[in-house]
Amino acid sequence: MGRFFREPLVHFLLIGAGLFLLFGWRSGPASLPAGQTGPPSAKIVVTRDDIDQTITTFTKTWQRPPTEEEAKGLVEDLVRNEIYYREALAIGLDRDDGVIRRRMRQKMEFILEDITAQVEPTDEDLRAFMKKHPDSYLVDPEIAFRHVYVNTAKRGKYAGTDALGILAQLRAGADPDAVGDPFLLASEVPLSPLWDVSKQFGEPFSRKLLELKLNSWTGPVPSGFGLHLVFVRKRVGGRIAELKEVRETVKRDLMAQRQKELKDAAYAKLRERYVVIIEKAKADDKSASAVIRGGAPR
Amino acid sequence: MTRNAWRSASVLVLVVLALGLPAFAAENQHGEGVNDPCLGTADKADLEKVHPTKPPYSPYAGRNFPTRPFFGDTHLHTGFSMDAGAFGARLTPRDAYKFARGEEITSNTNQPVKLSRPLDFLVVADHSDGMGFFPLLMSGDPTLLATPQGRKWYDLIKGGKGAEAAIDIIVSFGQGKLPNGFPLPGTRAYRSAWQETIKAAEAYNDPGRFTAFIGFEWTSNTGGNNLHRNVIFREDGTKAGRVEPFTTLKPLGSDNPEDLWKWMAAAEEKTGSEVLATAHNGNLSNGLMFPTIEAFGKKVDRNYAVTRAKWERLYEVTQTKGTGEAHPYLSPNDEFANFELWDKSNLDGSVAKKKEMLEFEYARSAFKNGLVLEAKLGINPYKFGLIGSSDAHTGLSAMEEENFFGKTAPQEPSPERMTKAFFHNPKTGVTIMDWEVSASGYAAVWAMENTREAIFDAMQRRETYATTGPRMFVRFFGGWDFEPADAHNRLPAAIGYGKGVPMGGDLQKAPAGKAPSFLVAALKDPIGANLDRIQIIKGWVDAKGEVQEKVYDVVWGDAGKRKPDAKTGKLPPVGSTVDVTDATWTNTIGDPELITVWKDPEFDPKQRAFYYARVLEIPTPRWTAYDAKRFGVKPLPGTTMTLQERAYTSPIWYTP
Repeated sequence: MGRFFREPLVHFLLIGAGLFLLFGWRSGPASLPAGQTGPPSAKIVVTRDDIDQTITTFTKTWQRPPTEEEAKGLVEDLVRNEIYYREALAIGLDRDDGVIRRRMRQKMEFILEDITAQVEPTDEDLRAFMKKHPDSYLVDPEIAFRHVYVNTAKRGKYAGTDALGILAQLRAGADPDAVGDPFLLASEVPLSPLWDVSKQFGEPFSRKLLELKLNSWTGPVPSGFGLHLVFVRKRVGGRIAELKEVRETVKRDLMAQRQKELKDAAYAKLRERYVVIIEKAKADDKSASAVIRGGAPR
Repeated sequence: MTRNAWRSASVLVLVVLALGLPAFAAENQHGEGVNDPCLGTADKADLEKVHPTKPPYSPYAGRNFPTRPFFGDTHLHTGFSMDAGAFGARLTPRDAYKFARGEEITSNTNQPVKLSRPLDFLVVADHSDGMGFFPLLMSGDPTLLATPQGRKWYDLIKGGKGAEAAIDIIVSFGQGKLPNGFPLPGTRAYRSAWQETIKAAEAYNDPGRFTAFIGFEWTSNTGGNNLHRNVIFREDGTKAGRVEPFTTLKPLGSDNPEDLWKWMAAAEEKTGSEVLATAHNGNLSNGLMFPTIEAFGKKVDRNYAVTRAKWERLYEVTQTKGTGEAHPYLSPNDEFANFELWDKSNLDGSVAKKKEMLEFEYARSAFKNGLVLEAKLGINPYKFGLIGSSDAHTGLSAMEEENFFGKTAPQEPSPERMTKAFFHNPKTGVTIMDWEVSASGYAAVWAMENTREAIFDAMQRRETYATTGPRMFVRFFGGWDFEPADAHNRLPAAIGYGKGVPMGGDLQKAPAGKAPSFLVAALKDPIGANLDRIQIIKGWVDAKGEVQEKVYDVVWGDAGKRKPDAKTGKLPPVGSTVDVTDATWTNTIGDPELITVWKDPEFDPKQRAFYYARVLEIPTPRWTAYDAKRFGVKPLPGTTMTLQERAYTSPIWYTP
């Protein structure tokens, strides 16, 4: 039972249920918006708070308080907004308006998203999530190496033979700075993750370095630039990250998934309460329509 | 300690100081780099001790200068931008960062998409005006929907005519005809969009691996004349969140850049975060980007120059809406000036371009006019570094020719984008076709490390270059003592920083009898095309006060068999291996790496000048060629099918 209450989905459903109560969604399906509840009141009160907020906003944007004239205009605009809002409600502009429906839906979704953000995942949650998605939290292998560049464009068809000659020299103890061709990238690459080496030298090259023998001159290894003779100094294997290294990333991914699950679950729960009748488009027989009860969200 | 060792040590300290503070070296009025009296003693032997030929045990030792450029995009829109949303962009800032750091995502048109390799940094720069407008419109904000325009756009988008709505929104915006209910700073919709933008950057910023900057685009577009600026914050969300972006709509905002600069000063004060602005490619400003006489009814005076130079140290020279380095009308002798031009009109096509506008909207002429203004005002308002960026409105910074996801959502890959019109203004007859959109560009920044602070600071010292998409590696140093042998040194960067200033820097008061010399080097993109050539472009003010320019080919590929013409001095073209039908090319021409030292042969120490490098790749298929092949679509007559991708460095300026 205790375990049951720790299940995130249960968590969400409880929150969801709380929300429904909050919004007055009781057991049965909600009816369409009831429309205007009474005649618009003729009284509009612009509170000191409203004014302060408007002025703060103005000040925030302009980095100065509004002049008296501007302040007056801002307040007048508040009044105008309120009048239009009430008049619009009075003539029913909110009814049968797809966009307002959408807005309502969006507000619901926003609220659900905010709620998810309130539930801080525990380390246990994060570890479980990592276990489910091991490929997303890998730490790249790391490599440190020294290389000597052989410029294939300059050496042309002799480049390959030259490279082998240089390799022999290096193996015989030649100073790596005295052989090969000048090159703009670093010749000594300190211990770096594979992705970083790939960025600079291209991926085929960096992948190849994972297979080379340690602590001896090998090659030539081709890259987008030409040929390289390589001395791999050190290699650290790739592994699955520890939580502390990727906590923020895992948290971000888990929260994203929770948001989605919560939205879907809340919607599915709601949908169960409705009998949905979908008329077939351009049906010959007008009575032919599909009846779906409690279908899952699509 | 022996006398010799002591001397080396002190030189080491001095060199390290000079190298560690490139901004200082670049800005110091009293002497830079090798000009410094203390550094005058650094002869070659000393330098070799400082940078020994044998690598020190610690590979990190001696690295007090940036060793690699970081590539990114400072100008990317998502569905939060009003026009992007109307065009059909649904991706959010979070999606944009995710994609830029190398993850595969689903595009706005439901296509899987991934970069060939991650970018190093990204600024999501959604339009500050109407940020969150699209969610508001689509959610049916009553105020907005009560307006004829709001209703019209809503219906258009619902009716599947989002592109038409987007163009209409852009035109209405440019013409100052926006409906009531447009989200303004201070409203809930606005605040939530800005906060979400900040949150997304915070979530994806990963120092050392990927930098997610907080920023926005201030979209001054009065009369359809594009004067947009991207604003970038150096610090994190706790600081940037203390302000809301500056907009252009009155009364809260303003379309005058001088008001943006005022806002920036106030924002720095308020947030405790430095901010910078990069001006959008000026090619659609119809002559307003680089004023020399007056701007917004006010004289271009010393105050204007000081303020602009302070806030706008970088300029976006290439992006999806074309490249604005040089124009054939302004540079008739530059055979490579005719590149990805958009020179028919302003942004919305409402006013056709006149030739006399060009001088005030292309980077090279701005550099030249800047020298003249500097002589007049004592400060150069147009002393900016160069970057490229995408300005894509898709949330996808995908600017590779063979992986181009367009400027807007409808321009994501489809057979139609080869033949459809992007926009058409019936009044002026200006039409821009989808195929004219460029798969360009990126910003390259020589930062010490991949963090917000380091990249921001490198931008402020202009140690940047623009690329039209490929990630070539470009070094450019200027000084008084570079010699040909420096081009063969194993550590060109150490020599470059040791003897000169990097791109974006300054040279002053030529030592007697010396002309500036430049160490310039480029390495191809590891997965890209070989290099055709490096050029140095010099601009100066002659004895009569007239501006001049000259393009020098300084080093080129296939140099063994490719020589300048004996009579004209002109370097023959590199040739082409492009098979347009198959959309392929080979690296059998050109060179993977080019490096040389070049000395100005026509230097006059009394004349102000600037120098920047342009690196050209060999010809490769343009995105249109890949589309023609992959979709089996026949291109329209006149469609550009190949191109020579390129990089433009920030200049180095000489001041007498």
